[in-house]
Amino acid sequence: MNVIYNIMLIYALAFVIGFFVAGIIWILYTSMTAKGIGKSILRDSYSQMKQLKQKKIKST
Amino acid sequence: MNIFYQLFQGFSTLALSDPLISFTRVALILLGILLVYLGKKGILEPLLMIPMGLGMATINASIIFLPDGAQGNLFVDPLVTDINQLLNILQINFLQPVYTYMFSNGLIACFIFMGIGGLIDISYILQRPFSSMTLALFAEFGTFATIPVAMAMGLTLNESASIAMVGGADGPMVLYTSLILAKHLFVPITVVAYLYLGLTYGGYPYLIRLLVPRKYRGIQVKYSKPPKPISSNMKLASAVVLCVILCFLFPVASPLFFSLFVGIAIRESGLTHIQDFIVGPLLYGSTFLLGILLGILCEAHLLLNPKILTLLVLGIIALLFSGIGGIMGGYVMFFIKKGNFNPAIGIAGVSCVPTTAKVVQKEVSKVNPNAIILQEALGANIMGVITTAIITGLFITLIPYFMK
Repeated sequence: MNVIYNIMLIYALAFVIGFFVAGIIWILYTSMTAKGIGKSILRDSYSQMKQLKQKKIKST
Repeated sequence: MNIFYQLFQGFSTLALSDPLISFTRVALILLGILLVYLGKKGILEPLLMIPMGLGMATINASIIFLPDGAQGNLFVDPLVTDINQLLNILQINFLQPVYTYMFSNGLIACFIFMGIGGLIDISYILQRPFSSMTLALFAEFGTFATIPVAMAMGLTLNESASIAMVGGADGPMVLYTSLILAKHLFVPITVVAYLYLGLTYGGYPYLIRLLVPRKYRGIQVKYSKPPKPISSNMKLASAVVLCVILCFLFPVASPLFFSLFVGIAIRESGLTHIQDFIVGPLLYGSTFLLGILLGILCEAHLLLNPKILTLLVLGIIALLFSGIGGIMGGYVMFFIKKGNFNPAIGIAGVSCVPTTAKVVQKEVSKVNPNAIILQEALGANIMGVITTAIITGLFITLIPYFMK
């Protein structure tokens, strides 16, 4: 009976570690495929700044 | 008559041996020939079965009298422990160097793992890690359920855990676990494991047909939105992170983790010359040598272990339980995804890469030729390899602790 209990414990541990590994994979995947919010804001503001500069040049 | 016996020692050793040994030798010669035939027919995995079958038939035909009067062969002596004796034998038995320097230290298992790593694409497990992991964990049911059965049949906990690893259907892992936990039984356990891994190819289709009704077997998995594309840089980064984390968790199984992930890393780095080497000469060369060695190790004197019959029964039980567990995992996913999952894919969680995935696709195609589930099956298959390595680490670490 003790053996069965220990084996079930190891199986449960395998589930915990397995899902922990799956969680790490999921975090890696979502972080690597996520659209960089900060990056796009920076890019937008940079292009706005460029447009403003061009307008200023044209007006002068 | 004496000259006849001296000249044809294969016959004389057969005639002068214990009748049980002689009968086993003849039976193993016939079994070896049968394995070659079944391998050629494609019923069993030919890559392993043809060299293994021929090796098995040959070794049992070529027993000779050694200078000390005992019976032996000129191929390999796996039982030698004395270093001086080993040095002598290394110069006589032609396969002894391969056995000593590649097989008994697990190097051949690591080479095969590198080759597998170089072949597999981890895109699907990155996109859907939880479903692949669920299937893989359920498909390990045999690895755990066999241990109490083995103990009830008179094996120790170490021996039981070693033979139960057959349920993971991963040859290198069985070899590695039995080397560490039950070295005295590692030859028969490894032989039983590889013999049965070939059987998954022939036996699992019947299990799928038995447990998955026809209407569910043809289900094509549909996705609401296409998965985001994954670049090789992402796969490389994931492989590196996973390798380091898994090695941190289980340093005892780190040679296996490293071998698998170095194969993946080479594939994703675009090192084509090295990839060609590891998935070609290294993988096929190692599999060929493994097949020959397993056949040669099937010598009657070695296999006539009183525990061999028990091991044969337990090997089948482990694979059967794992197959059933895998399909149960498939049903769990079927209910979680509200019917948008083919339960037959579950059996691909049994990590016999890529055999079980191919078996599932073949069975599904028979019912619905338009259903393509190979991607999902390979995802479960690859995750199965990682899961088996995790369980190897758990067994190697925890079983000796429970033995105290």
